[in-house]
Amino acid sequence: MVRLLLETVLILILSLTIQVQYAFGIYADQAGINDWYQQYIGTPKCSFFHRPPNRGTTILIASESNVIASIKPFNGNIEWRQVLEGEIILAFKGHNGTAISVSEHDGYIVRLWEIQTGFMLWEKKIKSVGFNQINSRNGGEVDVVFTADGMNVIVLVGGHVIVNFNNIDGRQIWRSDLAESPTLLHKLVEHNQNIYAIGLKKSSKFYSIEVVTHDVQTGVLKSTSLSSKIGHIKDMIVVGGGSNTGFIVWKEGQYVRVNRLGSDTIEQSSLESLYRNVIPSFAGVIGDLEFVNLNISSRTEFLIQAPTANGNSAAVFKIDLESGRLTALYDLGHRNSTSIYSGALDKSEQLIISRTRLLSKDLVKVEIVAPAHRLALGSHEISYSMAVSGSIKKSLLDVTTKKNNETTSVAYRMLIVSDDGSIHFFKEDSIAWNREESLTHATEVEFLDLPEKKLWTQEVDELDEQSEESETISPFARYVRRLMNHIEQLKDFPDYLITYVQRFATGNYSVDPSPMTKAKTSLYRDTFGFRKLLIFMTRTKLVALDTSNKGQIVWSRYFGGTKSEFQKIFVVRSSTVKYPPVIVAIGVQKNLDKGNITRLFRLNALTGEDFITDHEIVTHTEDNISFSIPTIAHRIFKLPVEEPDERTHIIALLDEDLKASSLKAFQKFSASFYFTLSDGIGGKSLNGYKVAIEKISQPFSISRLWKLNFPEGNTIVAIGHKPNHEKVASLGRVLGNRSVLYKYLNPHIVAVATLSPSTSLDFYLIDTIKGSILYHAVHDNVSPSHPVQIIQVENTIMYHFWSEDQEKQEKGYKVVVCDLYESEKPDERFDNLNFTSFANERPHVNAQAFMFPYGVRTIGVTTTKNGIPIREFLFALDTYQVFGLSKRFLDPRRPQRTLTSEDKEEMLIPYEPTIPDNKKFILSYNLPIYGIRQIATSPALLESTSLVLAYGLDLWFTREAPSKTFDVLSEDFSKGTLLATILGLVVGILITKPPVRRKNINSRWY
Amino acid sequence: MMVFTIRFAIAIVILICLQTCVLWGQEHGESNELRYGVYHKLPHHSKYSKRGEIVVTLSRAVAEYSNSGDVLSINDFENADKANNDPYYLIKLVDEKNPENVMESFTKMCLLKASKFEDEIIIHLNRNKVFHFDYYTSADQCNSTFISTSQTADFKTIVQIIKAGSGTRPKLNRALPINPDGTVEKPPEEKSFLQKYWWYLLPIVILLLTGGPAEEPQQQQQQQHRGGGQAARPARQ
Repeated sequence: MVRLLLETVLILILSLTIQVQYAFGIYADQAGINDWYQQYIGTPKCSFFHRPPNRGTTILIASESNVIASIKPFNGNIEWRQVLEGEIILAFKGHNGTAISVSEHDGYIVRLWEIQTGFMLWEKKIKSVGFNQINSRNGGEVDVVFTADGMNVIVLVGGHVIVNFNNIDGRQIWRSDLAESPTLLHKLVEHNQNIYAIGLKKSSKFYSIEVVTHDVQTGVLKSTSLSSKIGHIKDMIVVGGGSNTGFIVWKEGQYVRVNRLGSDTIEQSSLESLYRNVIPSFAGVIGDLEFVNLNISSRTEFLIQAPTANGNSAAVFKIDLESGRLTALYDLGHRNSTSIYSGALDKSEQLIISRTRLLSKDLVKVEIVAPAHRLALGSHEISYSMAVSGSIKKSLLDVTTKKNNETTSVAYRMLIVSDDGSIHFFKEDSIAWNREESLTHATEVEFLDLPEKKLWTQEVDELDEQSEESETISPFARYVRRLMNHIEQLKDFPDYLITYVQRFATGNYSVDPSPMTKAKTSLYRDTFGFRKLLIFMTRTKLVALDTSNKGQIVWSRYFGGTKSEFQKIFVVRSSTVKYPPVIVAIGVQKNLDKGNITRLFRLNALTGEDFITDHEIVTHTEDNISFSIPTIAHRIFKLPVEEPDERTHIIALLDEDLKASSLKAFQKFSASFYFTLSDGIGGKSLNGYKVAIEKISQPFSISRLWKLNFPEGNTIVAIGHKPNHEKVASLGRVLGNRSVLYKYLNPHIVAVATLSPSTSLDFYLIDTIKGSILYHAVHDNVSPSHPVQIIQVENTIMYHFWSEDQEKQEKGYKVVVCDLYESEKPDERFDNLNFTSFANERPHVNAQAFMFPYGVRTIGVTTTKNGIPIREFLFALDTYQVFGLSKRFLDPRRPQRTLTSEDKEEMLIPYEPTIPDNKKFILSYNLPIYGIRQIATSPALLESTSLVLAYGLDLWFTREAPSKTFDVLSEDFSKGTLLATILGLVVGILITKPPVRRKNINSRWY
Repeated sequence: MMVFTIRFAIAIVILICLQTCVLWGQEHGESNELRYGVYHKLPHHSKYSKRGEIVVTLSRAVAEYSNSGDVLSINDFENADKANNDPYYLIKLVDEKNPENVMESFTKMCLLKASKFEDEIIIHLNRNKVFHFDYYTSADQCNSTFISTSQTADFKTIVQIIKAGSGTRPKLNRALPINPDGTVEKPPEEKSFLQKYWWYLLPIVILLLTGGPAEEPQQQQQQQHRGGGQAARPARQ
């Protein structure tokens, strides 16, 4: 009977198990689940709205990061982009379904792109013979013009060379090299089968205008000189061209002069009459007039703006096509703040002009006018935060006008580039979308741990009680308060239970079991510590991104208004229950009048607001947010000591005169504060210093203790860097026979690589306290054309370089891995128990070299909470991918023979001279991550997992477990089976309990 | 017989070459000497003073230190501690031919006393040029009490030379063939130089035994000349 019951239960359990396995046996593709990826294009340099025939409008952008992209005006998404790495884009212009780009890289490269797909149609190189390349960097000397029939494209490069290409196949029709001429050409205009190149010729104090005319078909040349005196290139503007005649307009003394291209006649109008009669708002002008080119195809309208005592005035002018005279079209009037103008044509070829300016710190006003009809078409106020993005630098207008029953209404949209480098898209009265392109300028990043969720302290905050309150409150009242709080929380319990069960069953840990709706919006650490803030620092801005929310922006702040440039960012206080985390960003303001100033901005890292402590009165500076020190920081250190009151780390600044400044509580630490200075990459020496502690007052003086001059002619090409968080789990390495090789863990060791003119690479390991060279190795035949990368972690130092050694068949990329041990023999240690740099104890260096399949931009290494998993090196490859290679492959102990049983015990892999090019090692799968400058890592709470961020142009964030996720149940672990087994056993016990009890009683009776 | 004559002739040529090499080496060995002045500065001193000299012989990669210059008294070192709370002993090496070539290092004063003025200078060579030195004392903890036996600070200095090693290279050897049973097939053993060409050396040995050039005693004398308190040690690296 009992057996029958048991069998039934067993069958039940088995059937349940099968059911459950079917239900949960699904594997999801992991791509994009643990990682996120953001594509950027950079701050626009040349941008325009373009409407290809029979297609919708797109925004075409050529950026400072040398990317060409097409953006959808609807949502700001990238339709396509092309990254021109290593080149500088100088011009970008569209025509029908194609766009042409001119970029510079060892000469000039002209490319034609198809706008719809972003495919390149042709590419031609203009060799840089005989013209001044330096000039081209100043801009203006590169111009592109399409002929009216669209058959030819004429390119001016370097201010001297004009080349005519066939637009269809890129065939060169003619080339005109005017390198001999003293005229620097600036602008091209095409009209009536003639190409006019307008240039300036320097003559004593002034420039005179030269016009060089070419025939489009034959390239026959004619040069004319206009009698003119121009003080600056800005005093000249060229309008028209294409279907209309081109005109040169320039300012000369008290007159504005106009020349019709192709003729010698010069019309002139007096500035004074302009001020008095034509444009009333110019009456109060105090400065020089400034031409604003609206760059609207063949139109002859342009803007003149002028500063007044309290703002600026502007007016629209036009060159009359018939008479060639300057006529005033519309007075835009006087406004109190600086305005940015842009123009566009509507469907009926009517010119519409926008005037954009900041009304207050949070408001932008856009005015739309039609100058030909002297109509103000609209005025829009848009909320825009100057504290986040800074002032407006550029605007780009696109309009459509609708005529309804004789009333004209205009719909506008506008691309705005702000001072921080980001893009905003205005549509009517709101911002339609933003692109945080300032992140492409990021120079540093810090991972910020979020505070743990302790609701009772956050809400009741007993810790935050003032001491007087603590004394007066009775224990009973306190108990009641706590109880009430718990009862309050109880109402969320059912929800919590449901989410918890759901989470357990599905294994989806992204669902937070906490019931508090408030908690979802605020920043708290998640269960496994995967959620952190990434705080990016650009030259003028701080941006915080949430790692668990696909990199959404949490807060951002612009500091460009203080005219300082950021150098360094530190997390000076990490999150605790009571205290908010604090970051310090250090910027340098170069001010010629008052001397240089270093500013320290203290911010609450969770909100981005200014952090002001309760205990101190902040010195109220002009902008009220920073401490300033009247000097430039030469080097900035975060010291490993905390200031007792606020528990913030201390920062030491070393100024240009080599005096150290520091915040507080520094004296105690200063006895062991040694530091090293070098000129960085390109330097020739290293110097070791010590802070002198004779006097207590700041700034402290420093004295030099050692100096290391690298051999003559050698320059530093790479300096090793360590991950910010480094914990060593084990002091030694256990070998197969249970003996131990003790690691040499000198925290002050730095790896330096220098390159000599005889192309030998010297690799040094230097103790930075004592200035001793602990290891020195020389590699011959190393090419300086490829960068050298060094990374240090624990007792391992790895470097990557390009070897030219053709004789020994070693030409290619190499990596060398050095492991440092206290002794060559196992179980041997240094005599000293305490490590000191003053002891003559040199490490045993165990090195091995491998051929590496790729070029590398930067190297990172995984960091975990306690450093238990094996390290994984993360290489940013030339192929825009991230390659993760376990230390097991980069192990100097890999034996060059068949494995013995001891080797197998140590889990060694036999030596192979090349690192396998295994596609499984590419962590970024098929994502192209362009322009990686750094790979930063940070530990999660899970010991197995490290958070990895690659940034540069694009952002890519992932979680990497170098030794697999040994502390998490695998995804295919059947929780259902476990539950069913437990349930089955409980049922089994319940069923069998009465018969067993009966049997026991019976056995006692009989 | 003919073969033997040719071999004998070759042996003679080799012998002459060897002799020339030895003579050339001796001539150039002397010119390969580099001299460095060793200067030091105590915390309460304002200037560096000379304490000794180092002679580096590049051909043999050895260096010797000799005390010269002003001898400092023990009191100087005692006073340094009292006068200054930042007690560092600074030392520098100055190239005597090219005084702009200066190398600097330091240690703590207390370490120097704890080690009873036993110190070590490690010279780094790069392509036969000295570019840096490390300075260490024999003690690395300051806790030992210092009892002086003499009134002057007698430095007992050991000089070491370290040459840069050549960097590790990938071992691009041919893969070894493996037998069907999994063992590595052994390539035929290569004969050593002596095994192959012992008959070239035979006449040299005979010549030496029958009273060849006698420069050996001279060299021995040179080696004995070295010594005293300043021993030279070969590089450890």
